[in-house]
Amino acid sequence: MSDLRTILDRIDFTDDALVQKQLADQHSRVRERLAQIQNIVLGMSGKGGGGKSTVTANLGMALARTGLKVGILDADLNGPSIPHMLGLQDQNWRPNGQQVEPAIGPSGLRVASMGFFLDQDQPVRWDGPTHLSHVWLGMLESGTLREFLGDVHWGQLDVLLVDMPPGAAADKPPAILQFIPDAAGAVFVTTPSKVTVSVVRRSVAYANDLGLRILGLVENFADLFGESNAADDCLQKIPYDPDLARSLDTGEPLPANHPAAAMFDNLAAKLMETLR
Amino acid sequence: MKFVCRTCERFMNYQDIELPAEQSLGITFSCDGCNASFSMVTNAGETQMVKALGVTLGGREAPASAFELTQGALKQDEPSAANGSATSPPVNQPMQSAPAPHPTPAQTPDAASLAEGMQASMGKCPFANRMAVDTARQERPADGTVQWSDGALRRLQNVPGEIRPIARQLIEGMARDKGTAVVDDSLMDEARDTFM
Repeated sequence: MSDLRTILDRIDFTDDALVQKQLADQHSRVRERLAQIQNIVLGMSGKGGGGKSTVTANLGMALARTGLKVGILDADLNGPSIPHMLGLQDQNWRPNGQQVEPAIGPSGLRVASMGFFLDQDQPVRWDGPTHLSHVWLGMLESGTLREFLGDVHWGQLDVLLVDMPPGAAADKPPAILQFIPDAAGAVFVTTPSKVTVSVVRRSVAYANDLGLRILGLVENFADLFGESNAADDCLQKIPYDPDLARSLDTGEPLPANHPAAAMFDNLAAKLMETLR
Repeated sequence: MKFVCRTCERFMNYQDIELPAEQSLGITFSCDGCNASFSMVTNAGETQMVKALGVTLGGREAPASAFELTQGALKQDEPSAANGSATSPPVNQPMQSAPAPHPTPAQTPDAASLAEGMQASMGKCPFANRMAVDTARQERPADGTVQWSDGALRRLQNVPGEIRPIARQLIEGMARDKGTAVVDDSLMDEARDTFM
């Protein structure tokens, strides 16, 4: 009997169960959808609660105020907060066809979120053997992210912002990047906390490992501890502003002439400059 | 994944898929050279892993519908006995330590009969032909897509999660065979009668 290597060298692979073809079709669907998007920017951090979603939502609105066509993909499957921040928490998706229209947020933002599949306060509960979730959960979440990229009718966009879940070297960045290898890069959100900064540094290092371009750093709660730990050349420092916090809680955008909105306008301008 | 027949030194071919038990798939491969065949039986975790790929073994009759994987994999909350909707206790109220039992969706007459019929048929695998390549395709909507009415979609959500994706494929197959582009309540009734 020949050894397996010899046999495999001699015979041709056939995809008779058509699995490879379907996986290729899935990727093609994503590629075709994303071909209409000029820049895909990931909003990342290492820590939860640092302000990724705050920055993503407000950066999106600031970009849209300049006339750009902007989308936001809330990739935080288990803790989606973008719908609430943009006043879209009443959206309820029940897709029934080949694609689904994104929700339209302030300034015409095109938005997709796991939150649109969930009732208020309802967590994501996957239907599967939970005691074996280490076997399948990552694959399922990866498949869900693929559907958010490929099944949403994003249309032609200048920028798609992807609000990533917390985690420095979690499975989500590679899961996303396998579908968008030509992402423009990532904006990292940190706070002045040294603990947060140390975790964000790990996240930046991991992004480097993945070949993801680092577009810049945003320091949220910039004055919280009376000192900053971000370099002076960070894209934007955003001090705590009760009006900003309130606007996110109520889902009502800040007026364009509010000082906090102006900071995000500045961030948007710097980001677009970096992308050019 | 491929299997090699060491006797004939050739790849074995995918033959069909069955549901031999709850949360288990039986995937059969055969060798064209010596006609040997064997079935790989998956455990619950492996079954879920196959499901998480979002593919149909043997090929699809029509492109995947939007969020097919996500919608099929999300567990549906059990309806509250009080208001019929799925809600969590408000965060400022204590959790009930022993919530009163209430019927699961599968226990509602319609879903129960559909699920029961499907599970009873598992031994003879009514789904295998659907999941394999359909060589006798009949007239169907031009682009092969099937829409679901709200009522039909609600009834589908009552089918237990582990067989819901298969039920969906099966019912969409029925719609295509009938040349209709919409799964509605009457087709759901027909599916229930067929698989009871």
